Amino acid sequence: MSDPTTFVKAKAFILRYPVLVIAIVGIVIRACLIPLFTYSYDIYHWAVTISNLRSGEGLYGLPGYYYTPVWGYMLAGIGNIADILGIANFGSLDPSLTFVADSEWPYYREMTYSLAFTILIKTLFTIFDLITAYLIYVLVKDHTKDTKKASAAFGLWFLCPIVIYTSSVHAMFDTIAVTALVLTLLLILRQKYALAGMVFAISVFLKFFPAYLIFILFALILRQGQTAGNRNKAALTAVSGFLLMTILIYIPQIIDGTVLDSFNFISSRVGEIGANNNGQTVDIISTIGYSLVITLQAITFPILIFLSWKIYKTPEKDEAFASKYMLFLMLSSAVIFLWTPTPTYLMIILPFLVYVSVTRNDKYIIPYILISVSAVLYSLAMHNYSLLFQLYEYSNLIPLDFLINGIGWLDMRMTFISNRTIINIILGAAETLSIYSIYLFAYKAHKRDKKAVMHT
Amino acid sequence: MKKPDAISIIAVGVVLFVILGGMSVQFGYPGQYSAEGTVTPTGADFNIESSISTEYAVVAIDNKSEVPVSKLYIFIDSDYVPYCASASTADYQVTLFEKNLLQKGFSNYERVDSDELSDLMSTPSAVGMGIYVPFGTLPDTVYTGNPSDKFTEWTSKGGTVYWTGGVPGKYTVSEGKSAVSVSSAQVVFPFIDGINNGGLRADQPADMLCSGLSLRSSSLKYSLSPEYPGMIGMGMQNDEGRCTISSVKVGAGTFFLIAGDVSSTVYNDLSLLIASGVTYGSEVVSIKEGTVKGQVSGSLEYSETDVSVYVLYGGYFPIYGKRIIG
Repeated sequence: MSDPTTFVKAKAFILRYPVLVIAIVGIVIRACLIPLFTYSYDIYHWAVTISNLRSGEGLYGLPGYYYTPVWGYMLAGIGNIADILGIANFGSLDPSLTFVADSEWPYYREMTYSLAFTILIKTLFTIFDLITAYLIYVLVKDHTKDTKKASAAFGLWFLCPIVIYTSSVHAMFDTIAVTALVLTLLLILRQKYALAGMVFAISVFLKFFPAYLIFILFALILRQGQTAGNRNKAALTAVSGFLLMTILIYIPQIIDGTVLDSFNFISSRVGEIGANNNGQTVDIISTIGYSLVITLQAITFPILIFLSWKIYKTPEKDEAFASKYMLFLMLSSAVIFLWTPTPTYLMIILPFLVYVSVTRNDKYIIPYILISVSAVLYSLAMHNYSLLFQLYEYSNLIPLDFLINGIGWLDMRMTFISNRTIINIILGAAETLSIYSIYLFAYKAHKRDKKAVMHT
Repeated sequence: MKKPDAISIIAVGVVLFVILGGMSVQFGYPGQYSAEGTVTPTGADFNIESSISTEYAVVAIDNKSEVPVSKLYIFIDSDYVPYCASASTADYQVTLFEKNLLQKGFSNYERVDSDELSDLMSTPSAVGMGIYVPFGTLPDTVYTGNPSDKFTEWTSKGGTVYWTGGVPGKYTVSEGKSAVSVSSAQVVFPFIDGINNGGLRADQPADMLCSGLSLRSSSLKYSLSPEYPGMIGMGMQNDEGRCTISSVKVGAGTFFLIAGDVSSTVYNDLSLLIASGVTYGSEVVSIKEGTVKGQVSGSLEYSETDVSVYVLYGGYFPIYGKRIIG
């Protein structure tokens, strides 16, 4: 039997240092996942990008890098660290996995990656997860002065399934964009507008979605100004910071004339509308999906502007304003995704959802759970058996037939669509509904508040 | 002075991370690489150098008395648009291929249009010369589907053809017109009988070239039948023996057919094939692999005499290549 005093001591330690305990638990979970499971597609491009840089082709000389340059610069840094650490091998092709190239799903790679390279890439994301958790902690602590609530917010981010999955399994850099976005908010609240503008530029040129929040962030800048002169100065300073950072980011592309290449990901995605005429159901669905995304922008932008205007004009002040502002920020971040996003995209909602859940209305924990769980399930469905390629390569635990049969089953068509497409549609819908659940809770809370006002 | 708070420090850290990364892209890359080799009585000595920690392979390839290609001509002509690409796409794709060639250490290439291609066909000897037909389409200045066409004569002079993007001889194109299908291409290119039109995938290395050069392509679309007399396959293969790289002798010359639709992977493999000096029937006779940062010296042992030695850095994520012997 375990000593009861040990249990009591452990409990006391957890209560005394909750953030430290949460951080350790989160890191241990990530440390277990990082070497075992890796989505084979995106990390391939990170390795290709570093090798293209090493061969003198820059970010856009040879195919492989399809984003704006910020993440590429970070990859350049990772390449340098890899060099310092003596990581020479990034990965290799396994001929037995080439069958994936015949799958309906074009986002598999017949590659496996060296453990050292995998750990290096994912460690960076883990660090940013931790920084974001700290920033959310500060945000809550600043407004509520409540360490318990701040610790809870820290934990809800750092132990969130989709956050863990994105950094430790998917190896995708959305977490860095979120870090920069939350950092922007904190800097605005501290009235450090130039730095806020600079960091916002980093966030926008990492993942673009933070750009949708420009209206509501401006509303905050303007609200914080006491006089018209102050407001103008603050706005101009923020814009100057943004422009300065944009120029700094784009200097290399301006010099070598590849600015347009850095926006290839937009044209390639929009270009996919109607371009995929192979008759594959997955192509048709993505074509419809991209068209829908563009159409929905006509609704998204007016709502974002409306929310920004409402919060700018709201009579509340101080804590009440801060609380309402964060609610509106959360709603704005959710409105970006009236469509079904790739699960990593919706991480942008989470810091604000966590904030509102912890500080304003704990019922929002339900959308939080729904979003984080449905997003992970959707990711698992999309990445499926490719997550096991590393285990297949480095252990005898996964037989090749298991992978072949599994991917074969996903590609199998009972009717006119494959099992994969059916699963993706169901889980994609679940993810979308989980985002929509935020509106439901917001509406209910709004009705309740209205009732309360009428009673008084 | 007011002490900066943690948030500002983190923000400055993130900004610096990005700026330093950008500077690193501009000034820290590429690395410095070099490779040299000398023939010895027992094989070859090599001395390789890299400023970046990377994996390397030094591959000795027996060329079986064939002469490796030292000059490559790439056919592209905006007035003769191929069957599977627009003029602008073709230009973009060829540019990508050229970058692949340079990355692998082969710079002796030039583009030729349909007239220049026709002139090239008139050279008395084509030994050591290669022509790359990127999009499965030849201009009518050299090919119309007749056995007496200039193109077929050229290979008999010892030239090497590298073909991607379709069935050899199936398409010809006239100036300003759309490409047209040639009804009986197998009269001129008999080896296309039994060519695969898609649906097969290679899943195992066909030879040591595959791992030695880190070849990546696995599509067997347009791969030649292993039954064709004299067909030698390279790269990856399936159980049937179909390979991602098929080679046949045509007179004194060689015809290489790289399977699959044109893609980065195909360009990677083809550029490695050309840069390393692979010829018809080439075989790896010796190989040394490892990691390098700074300088590494070593030797390869083999008894064959017609050998090319090729150095590749980066493996499946190539960064530098050089033929150091041959």
